[in-house]
Amino acid sequence: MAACMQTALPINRRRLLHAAGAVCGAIAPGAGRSAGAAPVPDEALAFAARNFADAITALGAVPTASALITLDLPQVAENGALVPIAVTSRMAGTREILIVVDGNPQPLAVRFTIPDGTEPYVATRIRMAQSGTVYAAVRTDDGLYATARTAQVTVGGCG
Amino acid sequence: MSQPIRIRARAHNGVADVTILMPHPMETGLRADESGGLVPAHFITQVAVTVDGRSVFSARMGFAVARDPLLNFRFSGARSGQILRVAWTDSLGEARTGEASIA
Repeated sequence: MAACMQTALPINRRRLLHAAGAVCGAIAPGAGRSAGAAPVPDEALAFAARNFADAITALGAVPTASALITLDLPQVAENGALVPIAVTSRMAGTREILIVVDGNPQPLAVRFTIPDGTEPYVATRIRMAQSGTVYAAVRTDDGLYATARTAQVTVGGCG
Repeated sequence: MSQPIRIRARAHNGVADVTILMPHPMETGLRADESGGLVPAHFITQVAVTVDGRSVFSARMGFAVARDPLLNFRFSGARSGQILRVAWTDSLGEARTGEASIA
């Protein structure tokens, strides 16, 4: 459990720790990432999640904070219905890029699969229901990593 | 019937830069219409992009992807003249495909 806490993202720590408790309770104590334990991510469950902690749990691992992921997001999004976002990973063996929006009714926005030969980069546009934190998560061969940024939303985009 | 998928793909030094726009309402199921009733959820759930049968990109979407989903990505091993194929399916079982030649 202690390892989970040390590797949890500093931003929105309380929420992640909540998720960490759920995940670490299910796998070997001290395993901060999915390496070795290899919990199977449940995609349907992750999209069905209606709160942030459930979405993280369904992804199969609490993400480890990584400075090798760049998340481009406006600091102020006037229109929450149309928020440009770009994610670039510099992590070897990037297999997936996921975008998770804390505060959305469906936190997991999208999961991209990055085949061999495709750059670990994607740009798209998302909805944000309210101001909050957006997480760009990257799944590599040995675990789940993430970086986070906050955005102020003037008009929410889900209603 | 929805509008055609718009695709722009350009190869430079073997790397293709691809931009895809898929016209779609991407209804969340949470939006009220004029009469106060909820507009049913209707959003793209899967997108697959292939070149000569090789998967170069795919996505599984929820309804938090904005209306008319826009995607930009890059892949290597691309040549001008190759056909890039995009296929989406949505939450109501509708599907659409589009193709473009890599410039």
